[in-house]
Amino acid sequence: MLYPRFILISLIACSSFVHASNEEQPPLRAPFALPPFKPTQMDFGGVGLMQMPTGRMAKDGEFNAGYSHNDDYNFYTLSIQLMPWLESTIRYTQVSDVLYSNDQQFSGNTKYTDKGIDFKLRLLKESQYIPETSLGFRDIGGTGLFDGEFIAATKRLSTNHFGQFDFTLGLGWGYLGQRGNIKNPFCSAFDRFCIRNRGGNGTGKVDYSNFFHGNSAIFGGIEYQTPYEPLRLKLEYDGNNYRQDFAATHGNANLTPSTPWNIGAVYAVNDFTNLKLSYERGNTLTLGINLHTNFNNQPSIWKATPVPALTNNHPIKLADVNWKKLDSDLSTIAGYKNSEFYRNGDTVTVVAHQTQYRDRNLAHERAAALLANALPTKIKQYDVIEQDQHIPLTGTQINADKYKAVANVSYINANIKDATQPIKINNTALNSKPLYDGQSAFQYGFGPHLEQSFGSPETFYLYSLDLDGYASYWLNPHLQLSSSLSFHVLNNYNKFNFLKLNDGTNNYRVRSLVRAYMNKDTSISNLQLTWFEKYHSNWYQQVYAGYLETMFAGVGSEVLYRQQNANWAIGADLNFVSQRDPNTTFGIYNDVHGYGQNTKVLVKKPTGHVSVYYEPRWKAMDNLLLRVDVGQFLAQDFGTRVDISRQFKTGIIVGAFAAKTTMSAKDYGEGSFTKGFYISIPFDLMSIHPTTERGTLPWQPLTRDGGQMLAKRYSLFSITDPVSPWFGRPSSVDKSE
Amino acid sequence: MDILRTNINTVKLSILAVALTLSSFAFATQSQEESTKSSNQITLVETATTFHYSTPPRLSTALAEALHTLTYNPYYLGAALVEETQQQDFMRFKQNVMDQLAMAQTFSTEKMRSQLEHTEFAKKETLPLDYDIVRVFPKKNPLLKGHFKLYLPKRPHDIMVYGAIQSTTPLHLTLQDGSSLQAYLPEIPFYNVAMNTIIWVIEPDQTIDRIQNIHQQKQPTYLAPGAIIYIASNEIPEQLNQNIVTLLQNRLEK
Repeated sequence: MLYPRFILISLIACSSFVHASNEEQPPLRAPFALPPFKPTQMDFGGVGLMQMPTGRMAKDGEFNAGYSHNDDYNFYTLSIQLMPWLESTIRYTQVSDVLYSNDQQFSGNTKYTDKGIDFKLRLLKESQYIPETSLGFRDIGGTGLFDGEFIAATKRLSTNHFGQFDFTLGLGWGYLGQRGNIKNPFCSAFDRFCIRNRGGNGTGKVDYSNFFHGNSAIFGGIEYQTPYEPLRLKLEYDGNNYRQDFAATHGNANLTPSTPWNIGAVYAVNDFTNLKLSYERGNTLTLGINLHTNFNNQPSIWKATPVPALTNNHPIKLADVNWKKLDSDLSTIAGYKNSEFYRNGDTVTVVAHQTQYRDRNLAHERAAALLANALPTKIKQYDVIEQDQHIPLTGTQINADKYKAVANVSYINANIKDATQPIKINNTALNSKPLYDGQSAFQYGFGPHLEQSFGSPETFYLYSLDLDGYASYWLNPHLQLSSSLSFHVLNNYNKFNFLKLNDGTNNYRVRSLVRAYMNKDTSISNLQLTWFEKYHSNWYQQVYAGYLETMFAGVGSEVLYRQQNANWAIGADLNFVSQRDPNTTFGIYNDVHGYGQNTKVLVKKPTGHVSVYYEPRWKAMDNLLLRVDVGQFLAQDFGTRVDISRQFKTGIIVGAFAAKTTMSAKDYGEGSFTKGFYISIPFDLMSIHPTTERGTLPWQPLTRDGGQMLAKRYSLFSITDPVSPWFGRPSSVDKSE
Repeated sequence: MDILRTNINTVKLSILAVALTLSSFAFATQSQEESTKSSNQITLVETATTFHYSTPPRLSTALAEALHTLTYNPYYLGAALVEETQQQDFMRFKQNVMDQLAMAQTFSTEKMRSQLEHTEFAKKETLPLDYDIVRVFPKKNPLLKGHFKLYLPKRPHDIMVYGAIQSTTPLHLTLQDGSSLQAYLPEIPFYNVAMNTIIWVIEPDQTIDRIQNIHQQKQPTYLAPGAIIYIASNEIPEQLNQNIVTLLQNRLEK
């Protein structure tokens, strides 16, 4: 069994780039058709020229990882086309001439590192006369090294013999308009737009008051797809004169341009790699590489187990059925693990947990074939009840005769869906004595787990590769004892300069003390008793007590109301927790100053939220899930956390969250409020066996104490997923035969 | 040999039918009718051969026998299977489209109605008929119960144009190897009303492609032999244009 948090970024990266396909290319190209135009990335990440952006959007779901280097800056970028009209980019910048801090003890010779986030919104689509026009914001909510805004319009010219040209004209403010070759149009109207404040605002705060202020400049350029397919050429007129660049003002770098014109070339080595080279400012050579893929069209490579053929040797009586073999076949072939079997008249009911097929039709078909072969012919119906943590979730009835017609392909376009229908779960049937119980009370598993963090003072990359072990034991059908152990196999935590963050705040150290908990060889991240319950047909509950996560112990409960196939759910949880003592295995703090005199830890405090999950069903908001939590967070601050995620056709989910609470930006410290991003990847995208497991790559730029939630072992929204699939939604990318 | 055997089976079935007639007077006429025809038959339109089966045959069996009677390699993209007894709904649908066109009474719709009247339609089953695909994938090899017509045409050398054009019959254009849709545009006698309109391409295997703003199109659209270009009319609702496309997906080679 794969441990759910199995995370290996390298594996994910490799496999996704290997599967990258050149989707814009038609399957058959006429001998003399010109290469298709595919927009490329600028140095800062995101679609653009070199220094300047364009109005273009990449294809929906396009994901791009880039690196570019020159004498002044190193940029590490991740850019994703989140919606057809929204591009977002995350960037880490290392400034070559500036150190992280002047304190040698604190950060050694680590270079100054800056995080930045960019957004670009499409305002107009390209048509015969209108250029594709976008509005963009660079480096919002950062220290504002590169903060700027722009509006850019791009129009394509296709020629029959000389390739394709993308002409861009734009107006930039801030970093993008430093040259000031035109008077800021807003400045002409209102004086307050004439000046842009530099610095001043706290890191992580979105500073709206600066938008469209200060200098502005016209910029533009051409991207040229040459008739030689791998080669694209770029020319741009730079809107920045680099007088205010951080590397120049804070370091010794000389960025004075000898010309406003930059030239560059992009060479596609293969379908997923672009190399780029440019000569900027008339004196600076910049090199870069981009790897790209598309989350909307990576085909999965797993092979489904073939559906077993129908046979004619059926047992006469149910007593003659080889249940043990049926249970193991259902597990290996149909993905239904640990089956329980019940009988009610001519119906046999299977209760099991699905572990292989996101597409349940594949699972139903295999289960139907196995049941049809293993059971006597007098059984006319198979009810498959899917459960998780012993909570029955969905019911599907398979008609034995109709299935035989489907298996025999007795008519045109026979499909398993013709033989199945959803049913309400009949609890009375499940309360009888099972014919066979394949549930094993004891379950265990293990897997690798990678923790990583970028841009720390000590070094750019901190990592820990762990081996996580997991075990659970069912004391009765509702009560589970579970535990997780982490062995820290390989890490560079010896570079830690501090365990407790001295950021001048005085909050409960609910998360900023995390290093103290990581700095051990082994840890028990979880040891808890959980009671699972389902009331009526749509209410779910869990009650739990013990060591709930790495940092907290306590008791709590969660309830969730969720209907079959509904696009919403509502839940609530309430917990009483105390912080664990990182210096002992099982210790819990009884004293607020238990860790140290100037450090507050949490002792016997409540935390809990009301949570709403909603999936809009509008075209522009296709495949989005919105989650809102309102309540008391760990550091006893009260507020709201919003999480928005988009699911692509492959099932890859990209999400962002932010929490705003009663804790003020000043009390919060660096970053102002908690925010972060994550990518969740279905493992069946890179596995040769089908699986319903997922891995998540989280990214939180700063870990502070405000707006933090308890990391519960189980989430009812995930457990009840089959009721109205989100995480388990099948891939809608065509699978090759 | 196979046909001979099925004929013998048919005789047996007839005897059974006669027995049924005797036993049950109420169903006499119906049974008599069935006794003259076998219950499963497939007619290959190109050679006008009918194959009879006492039990429903697999598609691969029927195809194999049909292929034996052909002297050429069929063009599978244009092949069609039509269930003769399941056409009522489709014919109603077709009549509805024709009625709506007649009611519109504009210049382009009159031409379009005439083009469609010159064309034969039937509800095609949506399944691949390529013999290799059928025999290799069991799921694509169903039993054929009932009366079917099978079309296994030769590879055509033209493409057709329907819709808002100045022609009362569908236009046949010579296929240009390796050319995309744009190459055919100069040959199409557009109405002014049809300029800048939506163009549909209906490939012979029923896949469709909707192209808006053809002059802005960067990606070429290639046409398979026997494909249909449908120039949507601006004078009728979008839904009616789509219904005509559905109709054209079910066009039969005469």
